[in-house]
Amino acid sequence: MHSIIFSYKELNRRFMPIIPLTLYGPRESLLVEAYVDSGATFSIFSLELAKGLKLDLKNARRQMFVVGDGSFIPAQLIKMPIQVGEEKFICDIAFSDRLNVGFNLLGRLGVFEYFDEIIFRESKKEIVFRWKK
Amino acid sequence: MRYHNPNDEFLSRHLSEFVKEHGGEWVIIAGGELIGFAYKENLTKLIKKARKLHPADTPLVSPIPKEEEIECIL
Repeated sequence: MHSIIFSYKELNRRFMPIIPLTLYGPRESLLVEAYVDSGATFSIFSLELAKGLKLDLKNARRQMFVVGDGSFIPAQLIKMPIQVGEEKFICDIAFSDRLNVGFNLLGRLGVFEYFDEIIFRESKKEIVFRWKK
Repeated sequence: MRYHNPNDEFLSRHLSEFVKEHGGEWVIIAGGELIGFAYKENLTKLIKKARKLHPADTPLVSPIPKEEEIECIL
């Protein structure tokens, strides 16, 4: 079993499971940070990142998502390559210009299924992604 | 194996300070150093600058949460 360990990020004396991952556009990539949200189905990122990657969202699926405060936000959903640690795979990612929370969100769909285990070690302030080759 | 990336490590070291001083903006880091802060309207310009300064690196681009957003996280 292979694994990669990410330390939680400290913000104002709170430790949060925010991890770096790479989003790949047609020609360029960006390292971005996302809050690993096991309670979310979809991964939602700021639309600014899609612009930075020069992603073509013409054929993206338009969908509304319910966010933490109960409101609906519009987003554009595409399949695209992402990389967590050394593992690169295709995943559904939604982009929205209404994600006004200061965090990108990494949900379960396509991510938690790809890895065999994702372990939140609260006492050690770290998150472990495990997979079989 | 523990994840290591100089850009991510820079962010981890300075994130709380960024929240205090630049909450609501974006930060761009490349080559293990700060490239700058930008509001979303100017983000593309700063990403271009990062790629120009560090062409072999993948720049880190991240929104900086505001203090009240951290308090509101469930």
